[in-house]
Amino acid sequence: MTSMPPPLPAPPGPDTREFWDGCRRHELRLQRCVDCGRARFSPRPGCPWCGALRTEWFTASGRGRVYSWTVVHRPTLPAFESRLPYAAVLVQLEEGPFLVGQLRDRAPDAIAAGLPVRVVWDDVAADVSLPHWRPA
Amino acid sequence: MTAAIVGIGRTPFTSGADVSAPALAAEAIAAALRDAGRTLDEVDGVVRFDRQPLWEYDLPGVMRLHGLHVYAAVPDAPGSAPALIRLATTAVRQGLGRVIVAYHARADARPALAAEVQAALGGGDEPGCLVQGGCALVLEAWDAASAGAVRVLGSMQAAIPSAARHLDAWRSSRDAGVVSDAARRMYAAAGITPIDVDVACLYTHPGILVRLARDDFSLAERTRVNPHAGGPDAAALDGMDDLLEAVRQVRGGARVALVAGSPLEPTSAVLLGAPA
Repeated sequence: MTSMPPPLPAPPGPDTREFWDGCRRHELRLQRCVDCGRARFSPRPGCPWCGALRTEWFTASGRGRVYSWTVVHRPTLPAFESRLPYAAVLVQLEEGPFLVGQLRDRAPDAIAAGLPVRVVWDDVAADVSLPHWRPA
Repeated sequence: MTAAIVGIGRTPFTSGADVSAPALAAEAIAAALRDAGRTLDEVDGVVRFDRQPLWEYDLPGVMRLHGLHVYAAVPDAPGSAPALIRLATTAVRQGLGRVIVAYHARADARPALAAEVQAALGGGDEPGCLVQGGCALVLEAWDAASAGAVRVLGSMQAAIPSAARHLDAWRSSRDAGVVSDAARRMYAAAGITPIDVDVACLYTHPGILVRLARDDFSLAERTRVNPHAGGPDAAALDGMDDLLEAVRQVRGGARVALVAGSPLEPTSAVLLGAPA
């Protein structure tokens, strides 16, 4: 049963729209605190490092390293069955924040912590794209 | 020892703006802390409505509130804004926290009262349903309170049924005098009589609900009711703005102010007073 459509993220809200609009354009848009300069993800109204509420958006490099990962052998949803087994990776971006995604183009048993990766885009619906990862 | 409200903050109230409730809450909290002369690091407790979208465990990630050691919630309904102050006061009096923030924000539209409830109330309108905004108050122990602090003289809660969902049960609660009994106990515990109340901020201006509250709290002719009524913001945000208005009234010279939540659901009230 591989024709099942993948689940889609919750519709964007005021805090997350810039991120999802960026994904649609294949740009990784992140927030940065205007006061202390630290980048953060996921999108939210204030800075977890200094507490300031002034925020600016910027386009991240899309480069990072595998921080940790797990190999999925059993699908929690039928839509993921055709990809088994696949690696779900936690990537730390060059800019600091962490993102979760799938690692593409690399056998799940050939992953190491610190593996340099770059973002790839999966157009899962007409107006929804998701960031995933491949070896850089 | 009693508690005092030492800071208030709110966002502009809007309708239809592209803004999230967490952003509004964060802005209101920051404003209230500025008013109180306190920093994020000094906050050690928060109280909120139970369906508030920004929870205590979100706050460290949203605005670096890392020192939360007491937190609790009251039922999310416009009856419960004064209950936030009651809860925060309890935390302060028990020594569970030193600087407690009570906050509430909403960015969605609150559904209007069902026609059946409107009819049972005599067709009273409930304005202010569409407001987006955030409000916050900072509470501390009265000993530690600074100039401009407003004392919490007394409070009450009454778990009456929701009129919107169980109208017959709500009417039964009214017939039994549940709210007026709780109000009498609040006055007695505070050593205050209704004639002492200089100003009352009652949810919701200027409709039928005010008449219910006048009865429940035995308000006298001399008591000014809802001095903030008339503007589009008044009584909005589930009664939170009524709390802020009462603080402003006491800061402006009122000696005793009453704030009462909506009498259509689990309800609550507080008596606020000047330092003297």
